[in-house]
Amino acid sequence: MTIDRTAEVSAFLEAAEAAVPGGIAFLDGDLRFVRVSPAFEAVVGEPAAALIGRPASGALTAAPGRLLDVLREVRGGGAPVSDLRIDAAPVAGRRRRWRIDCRPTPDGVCLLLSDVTEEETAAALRNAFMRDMPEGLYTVDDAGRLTSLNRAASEMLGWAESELLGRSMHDTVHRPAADGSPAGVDQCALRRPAAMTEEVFVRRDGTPFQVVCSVAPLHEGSGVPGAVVTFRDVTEARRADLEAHHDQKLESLGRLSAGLAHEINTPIQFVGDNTRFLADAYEDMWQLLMVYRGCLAPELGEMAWDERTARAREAEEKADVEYLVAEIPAAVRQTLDGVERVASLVRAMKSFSYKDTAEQSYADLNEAIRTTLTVARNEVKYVADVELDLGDLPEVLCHRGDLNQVFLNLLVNAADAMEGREQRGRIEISTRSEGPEVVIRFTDDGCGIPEHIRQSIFDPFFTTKGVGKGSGQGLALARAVLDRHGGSIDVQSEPGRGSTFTLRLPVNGRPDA
Amino acid sequence: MSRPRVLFVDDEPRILDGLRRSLRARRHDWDMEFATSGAQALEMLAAAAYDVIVSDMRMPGMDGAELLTEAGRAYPGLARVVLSGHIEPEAIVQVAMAGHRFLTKPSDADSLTAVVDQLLLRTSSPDPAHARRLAGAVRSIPDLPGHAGAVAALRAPDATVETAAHAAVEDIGLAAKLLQLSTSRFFGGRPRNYSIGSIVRAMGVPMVQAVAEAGHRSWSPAGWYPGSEPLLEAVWRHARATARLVEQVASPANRPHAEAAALLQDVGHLICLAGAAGPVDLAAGTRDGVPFRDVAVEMLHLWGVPAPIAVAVAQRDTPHRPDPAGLGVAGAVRAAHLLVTRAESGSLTGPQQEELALLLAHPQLQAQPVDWHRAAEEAAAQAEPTACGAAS
Repeated sequence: MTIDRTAEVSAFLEAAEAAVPGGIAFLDGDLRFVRVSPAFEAVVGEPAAALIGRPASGALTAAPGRLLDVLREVRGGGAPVSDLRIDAAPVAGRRRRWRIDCRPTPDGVCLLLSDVTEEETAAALRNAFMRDMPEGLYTVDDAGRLTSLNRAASEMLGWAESELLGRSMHDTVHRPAADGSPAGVDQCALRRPAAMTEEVFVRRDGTPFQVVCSVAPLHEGSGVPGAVVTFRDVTEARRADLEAHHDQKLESLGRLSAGLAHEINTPIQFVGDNTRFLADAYEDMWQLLMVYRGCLAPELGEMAWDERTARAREAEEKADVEYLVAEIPAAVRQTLDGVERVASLVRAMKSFSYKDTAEQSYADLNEAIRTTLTVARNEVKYVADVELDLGDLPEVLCHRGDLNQVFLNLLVNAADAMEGREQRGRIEISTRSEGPEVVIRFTDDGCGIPEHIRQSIFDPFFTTKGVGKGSGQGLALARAVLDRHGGSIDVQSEPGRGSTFTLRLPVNGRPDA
Repeated sequence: MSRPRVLFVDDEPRILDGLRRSLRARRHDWDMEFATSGAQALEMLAAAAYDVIVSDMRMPGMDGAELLTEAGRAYPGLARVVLSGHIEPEAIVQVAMAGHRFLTKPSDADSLTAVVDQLLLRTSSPDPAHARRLAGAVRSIPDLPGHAGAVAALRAPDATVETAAHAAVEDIGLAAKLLQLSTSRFFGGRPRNYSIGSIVRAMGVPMVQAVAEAGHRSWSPAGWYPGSEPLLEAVWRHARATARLVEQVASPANRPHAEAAALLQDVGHLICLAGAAGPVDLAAGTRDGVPFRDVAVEMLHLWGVPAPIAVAVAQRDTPHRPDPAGLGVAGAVRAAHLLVTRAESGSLTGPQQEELALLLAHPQLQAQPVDWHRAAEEAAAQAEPTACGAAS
């Protein structure tokens, strides 16, 4: 071999050493380092000067024994080793993984050593995403075609990754928009970056389920980015929310119904009594009328006028006509009043239990407050006087039934705050229009809310009421309803003096909705 | 004699107006007065004697339960009627102790009139007013010493309907209270019949537990009349044995009433001997000169316990002349009572023997292939708390 030839091979070797991702070392028959590439120095953390001419066992002090074993085996005529991964000694507390490739050379061995720590960490992370993460995850390319699908997504959707690769995810799992318009893949909400949006996906068997999903762009090379979509099935959670809402409604209904029964039974009792009296009174009046007729009868022509008036007077006394004349109009008035009381109560119940549609509508909140007060009168009337200070309000875009529920909860809480008081309490409900908002205040002069629990009162299932008196969902529900309306609910309270709950509602609904 | 006086209490003046008008037909029979609050009612009760008070329950300030409790304490002879559209669950047990009768709103004038008329009627007694005061003061009847076991089982949180029914049968006072409450829908569904088991089922275990608990609380444990324990124990055993036997003696239709009457036959002993401060004559069976039985009958009447039961209790010691058509509740109880008495003491008086022979010859008893004396002995033996094994 000429000098030129040697120089040429050496140049090739250097080029190869530089091109290979790992480090390369050549060792002689005694496993002494003959040549190491700069990358090798970096992987083992030793300069060439500390390696060349020294045996591997002495120079690589930090190398695991397994590496030396491999070198010995290969030099001793063993099979070449390829892609063997071992743990190297940690550096600065960080564990390291090495990949070993080793082949014999005519008078020694060639060792390829690369640090695969990051690669393996990334793979583990990816595995965790793809295999173990409970959230669904898939990636699509720039045209919305599936490029990968993790196991959770596969289980939720009912499709295997291999079946969907290259297919449009929008067409396969994304349910068409609620208005029925065929939302094209280009308009698909899942093509734009988004965090925690609600969507409906469809399983392979056609059943829809609700998800909360996030979309992040994913750059793979040049051009339009693809996307990574993560999603979570929230059908169960939504149902639980709905049930909690429903439970709360039932709870307040149960409490109301007993009071309502009382409110209805009272007028029914006196309407019945008065009507019975009117029937008796009619009978008495009829008897009296018969006597009058008798007095007027022509057959009595001979009878003296005195005799006739005496008969009439006697009959009037028997019928107690003065009493009847005084009482009948009152009985009629009270009967009609009772009937109106029942009728207005039934109207209020109907209006109160107003079934909201999914859409909001404009409603008169003063009217809603009056309705709630009628329905809950029995909860309040024994403990407090309610004063209404209702200002002029524009109609407010809202879910009326939900707000009724909120008003009821606040009213019942105010009444409950009177417990243990000597005197009757006072509850004031005021409404005001303030610019783009209406402000509704429920003020009571009850027991107030101690400072240390004021933060907790809006938490679900937080209650200070005795067992059976409340489940602690009333204020949590109120906050949820106000949030949904883009409004707010706040409390000011002074223990022993009372509390004020302030509701703010945008007149025209949630700005972003 | 002056007219009976009835006081109506309701915070809703229109209810009172309506009652005044609809009850106007009775204006010549009763003097009716009206109060719109508990406080006003107590003032009126202090100013004049009343026979019956009819009160709403939910009222601001002093509510109906408080009013009736207070009125019952101060004027035990006053018959106390609840007239209410709704009773709060928290108040229901207090109401159960405070009232004698329970009417729901709306009630028509006829049912209200019928109840008031019934309550104005006093069961025959040499001293009806005194018997009324003794009976009217009763809010609940204590369980007998030594019989707390069944009641304790009833209080267990996991008590079943069977446990509750068993406890109610063991506890004469609780059985009486349940019979009283079973006539009103405030305390549970309508029982299929007036057997204790049906009542317990209709009320539900939690209500029975609450009533038992409240009954226990409302009895001030001043102790039993000195030296009365052996008598009370004998009375309890006799009631249990008779109740057991009467199930066979009575016709199927009369069984629930007969069982209840047998259990309650000597409830007067319990009422009169519980914490008795007044003069009691144990030998004569009287308190303040009023026979125990008269007090029992007056209380069952006040409590609205079904008439056949009250009549059978009233007539337990009255010689029975059997009707060929059937023994009826009273006849069955009387027959069982005589049989058990004979089994317990081994003998009857001459007239009692003749009466029993007549009763045993009755077709209703003849029709069954039962040795009645033996059945009575078995029933008596079963009622012995500890002697089950020792007797045979």
